[in-house]
Amino acid sequence: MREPQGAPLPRLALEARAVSHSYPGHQAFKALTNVSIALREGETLAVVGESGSGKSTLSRILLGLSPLSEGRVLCFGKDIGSLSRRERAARMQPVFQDPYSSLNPRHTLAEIVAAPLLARGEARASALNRATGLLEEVGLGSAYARRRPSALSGGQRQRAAIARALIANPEILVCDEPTSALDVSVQAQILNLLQQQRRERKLSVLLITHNIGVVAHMADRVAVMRHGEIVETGSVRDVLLEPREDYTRLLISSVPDLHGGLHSERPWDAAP
Amino acid sequence: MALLEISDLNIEVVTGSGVLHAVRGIDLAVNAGETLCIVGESGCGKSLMALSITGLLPPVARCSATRLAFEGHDIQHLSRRELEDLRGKGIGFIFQDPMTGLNPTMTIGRQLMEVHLRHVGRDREAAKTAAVSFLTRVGIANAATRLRQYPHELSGGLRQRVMIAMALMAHPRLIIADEPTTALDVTIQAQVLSLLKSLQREHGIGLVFITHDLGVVAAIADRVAVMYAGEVVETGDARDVLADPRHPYTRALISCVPSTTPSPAGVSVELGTIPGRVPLLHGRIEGCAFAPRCALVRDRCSTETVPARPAGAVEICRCLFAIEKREFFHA
Repeated sequence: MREPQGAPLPRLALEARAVSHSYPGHQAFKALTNVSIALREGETLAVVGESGSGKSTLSRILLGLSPLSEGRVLCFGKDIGSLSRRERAARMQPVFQDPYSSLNPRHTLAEIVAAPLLARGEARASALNRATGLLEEVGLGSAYARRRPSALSGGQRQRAAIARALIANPEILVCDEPTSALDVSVQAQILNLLQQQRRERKLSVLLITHNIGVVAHMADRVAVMRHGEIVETGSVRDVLLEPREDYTRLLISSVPDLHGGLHSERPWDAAP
Repeated sequence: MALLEISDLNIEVVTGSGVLHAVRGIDLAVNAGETLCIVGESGCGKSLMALSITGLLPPVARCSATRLAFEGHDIQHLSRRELEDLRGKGIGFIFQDPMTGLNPTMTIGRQLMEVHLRHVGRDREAAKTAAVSFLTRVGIANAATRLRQYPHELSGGLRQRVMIAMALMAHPRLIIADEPTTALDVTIQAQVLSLLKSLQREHGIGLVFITHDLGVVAAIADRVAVMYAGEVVETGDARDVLADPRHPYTRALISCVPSTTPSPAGVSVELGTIPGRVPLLHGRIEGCAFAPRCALVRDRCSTETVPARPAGAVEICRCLFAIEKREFFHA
């Protein structure tokens, strides 16, 4: 761990303490081993890793959607097991990877976005009204409120998913590969929207991704995962510019970088 | 003479809601030993174009071209048998998802040997030796043991290596690879890219590499063709196009890609975006297809036919104001 010295540390929004998790089976699979991470209030913490590194299992455990075998998860200092579903939902909300499966196809966008308000007993008319306003704020004008997800592109669906996550004014957003299913020009719009909402609402964001470019663009700090363990944690500049672990170095050097790639050495360009 | 020449390629797809003009007037050429990357976003027609070269288009698609030639011979009117000979021996194909390219009911060995028996020679022992040698060449250890395994027993990276070995087995002069690394992790992608480049170099193969990832283009391309809404909007040397694109779409697309180098603490960078949506390709598009989304659009853009012509160091740019706009970009 590399942290700046001196400055007082902000409150922790979400914390995993020595979390381990095994999936049962005839050969139990250990998905997470002794994972500890801390999301500070107001920051974006990225968890980066390749397929099967355990990052999605970790996000589900932090959201309270999956049980954990060992360890503790704390949300603003309170054990997540002691919070009711409603209390959890009021503090943190997820944005998932696939906007084609995460929105109810039978509901209109306004109903989808208003769902968290309706679930906690708000009047339907005012909930739908607020949903329409928020849809507009995320770039889906009032005409979209009555449409169903099938009438939308992937990027528009992800905007709706972000609106649904934001409507109950959570303090924490857990985004699991929020742009992996999108084209790069659409990804840019969604990342800009997430940045803007994060600033305006002072959100704490946990960002699960395999994309180093997204990490570099969005995150303040980053945790690198491999085989269910945290390999390296630190500020995004420290970890990406001066990685300490071999695996982190391999991961970063494997990414073909458009902006750096033009100037960097391409091993196969050398004379044979 | 170019290895592959395509002139005025058009592909139409019959859908429930009418005829889709998925690919419109494409001209391309690939030389032996060269890597041409075709880059574009979903639905721009890049995969259909690749399939059309080897006659693999689905039945709902029709294609026409004034010229579609491989090694100087027109391949548009080949018989099914002649096309089968061309596929494999002349042109190898690598698909995005190796599970769709490999037969799940056959061992890796049988599938590899089949290619040899079909295209190279009838000797089974020689086919087996070749299979082991190509698996070893693509970096698979214990090749002899792997021959007895089925595709589901291998990881995604290994399966993609098997696909590459299979494409190489018949000694093709051209390989068409459609997003071959998109489903792979970056560390495995780096290995596969490096492998493809070194094999290409070793055998002097022409490579058409289809991707949506501009980073991959920067890493492997000699030349690049940028596609938008069924057209090639810009073609040229990859370094020229990426460093100094002349088409506003290429420029905008590049500005959307987040850099892997973090900006200094406290500095927040906004990514470039492209407003609007890709046009529907059902009807005839008047003028430039990108005009409704272009930041530098002028009146003439939506009415005049846009010629494909050189602009600066770029071979071909399909923009009425390609040269002048460069001043805009740099202003």
